[in-house]
Amino acid sequence: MTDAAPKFPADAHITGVGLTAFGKDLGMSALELQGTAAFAALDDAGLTARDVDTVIAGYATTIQHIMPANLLAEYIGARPDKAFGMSVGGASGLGMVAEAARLVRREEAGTVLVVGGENRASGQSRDAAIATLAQVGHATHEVALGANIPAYYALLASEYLHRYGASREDLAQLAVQMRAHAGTHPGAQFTKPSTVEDVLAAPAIAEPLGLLDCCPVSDGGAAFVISNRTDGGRGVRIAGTGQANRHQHVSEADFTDFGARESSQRALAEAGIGLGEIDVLGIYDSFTVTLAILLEEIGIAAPGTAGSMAGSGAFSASGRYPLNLHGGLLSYGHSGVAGGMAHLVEVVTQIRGEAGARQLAHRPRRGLLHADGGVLSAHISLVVDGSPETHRRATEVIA
Amino acid sequence: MIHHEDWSRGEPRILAQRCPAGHVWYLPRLRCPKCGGEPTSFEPGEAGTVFALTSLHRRTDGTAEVLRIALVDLDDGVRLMTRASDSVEVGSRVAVSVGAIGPHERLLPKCEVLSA
Repeated sequence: MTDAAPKFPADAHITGVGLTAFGKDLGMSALELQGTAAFAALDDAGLTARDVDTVIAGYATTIQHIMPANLLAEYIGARPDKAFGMSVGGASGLGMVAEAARLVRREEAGTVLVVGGENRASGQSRDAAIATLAQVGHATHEVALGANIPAYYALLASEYLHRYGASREDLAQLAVQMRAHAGTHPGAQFTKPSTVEDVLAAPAIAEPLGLLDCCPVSDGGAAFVISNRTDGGRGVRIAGTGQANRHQHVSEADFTDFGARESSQRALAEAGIGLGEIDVLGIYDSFTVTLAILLEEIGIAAPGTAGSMAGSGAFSASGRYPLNLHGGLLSYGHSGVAGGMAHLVEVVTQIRGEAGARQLAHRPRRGLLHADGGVLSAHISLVVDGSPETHRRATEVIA
Repeated sequence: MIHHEDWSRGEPRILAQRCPAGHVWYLPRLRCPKCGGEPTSFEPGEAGTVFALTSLHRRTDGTAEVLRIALVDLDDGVRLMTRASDSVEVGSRVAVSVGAIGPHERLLPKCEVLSA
């Protein structure tokens, strides 16, 4: 274990989590979804909205409000010292958590509420959602060609399959594993088990990606309370954060180094641990190819092998790296900012030993999270640690 | 953008940019993204190799269409997104040009397999 000591006056802990079910129509507005998740996280932490000194909220495509955190703060009855929004695409959730950790560690905040949520599926037409999301592409030199998010990721998939001589079957294994996990979570949007054959037979969306290689568009909300308190060991410490931003547009991406390696290495270094000490994973999976590339760049899978690793069970509950045990974006669902937060809710729940029927047989201590925004454009990684031993070590180092 | 009148502005040409240090790039910039140098626009040669390719199945307003979209690495050192003809595959040697495409005859870059 390397000695990358925390150099902060305080430690940041996740002391409350909230997650709604995800689905195609939850009958709630974006603000109601955010509020529901926020109150769930506050209840979980044993706090009220008045206890919060900082509110950070993610963008919502169905609101497009220019002050999302202030809007939410008033709605739930919070009167924070600081309130601000964040917009880093799918990385917004982990980005807000990283920012909350930064403020708490420097004693510039004591209790931070982080929230994402929207009625992305029911609050607009499918075409409107696709058109909004397509804007992460270059307005005049990519979007103008008719490209959209599935097309950008399909370009990544086409190059990936060509480079490794891999097949659609390889990527399909990842979708099958996510679906199998979702079957154990009552809040997941898609729970019916799938097979590789199902994934291959699904309608083409953007070749080589078919419908089941793509996450759905969902309604949903998620929230965290991040605090300087440990809450009697129930808090899960944020041990490391890392980020990397190399490009915005797929036309200018370096396909051999999107940024996930650097981002995750920074988070692991800050936590003072290596991948070998990670027990559970939450990795962004907007498409099967997203998950494959991120797992390989982070170093969990050798190049070109993420799919076959999934097929051999490495990412199952009994595998070496249990991954997205809630079902991920591919099967729990994707409601924008909240979609990228659900992975962390699940990892924290597993570390606390509170996952009920889904609880890993060996309660995990350390989790690695990674999310990307855009087209593997923005990368944010997080290491969380629920070990009392590491709580003690960190405290001693600071003293 | 000054002096960068390409297909996106209705002119039938593909343009890239380069700086005095020799860096070349495609998406229009005010300065070189690598060194900050002053850019000048130029017309790259048409020959290139297909780097990535998708057939996008679009279903809008009850109509279905398939758009073939590629990333092409031009021999002159820039990568650009183009429409692709049916015979194009990843690795194909192609010629990139600007064509009037679709019902609105919009000017878009496209690629076709380079005849040997």
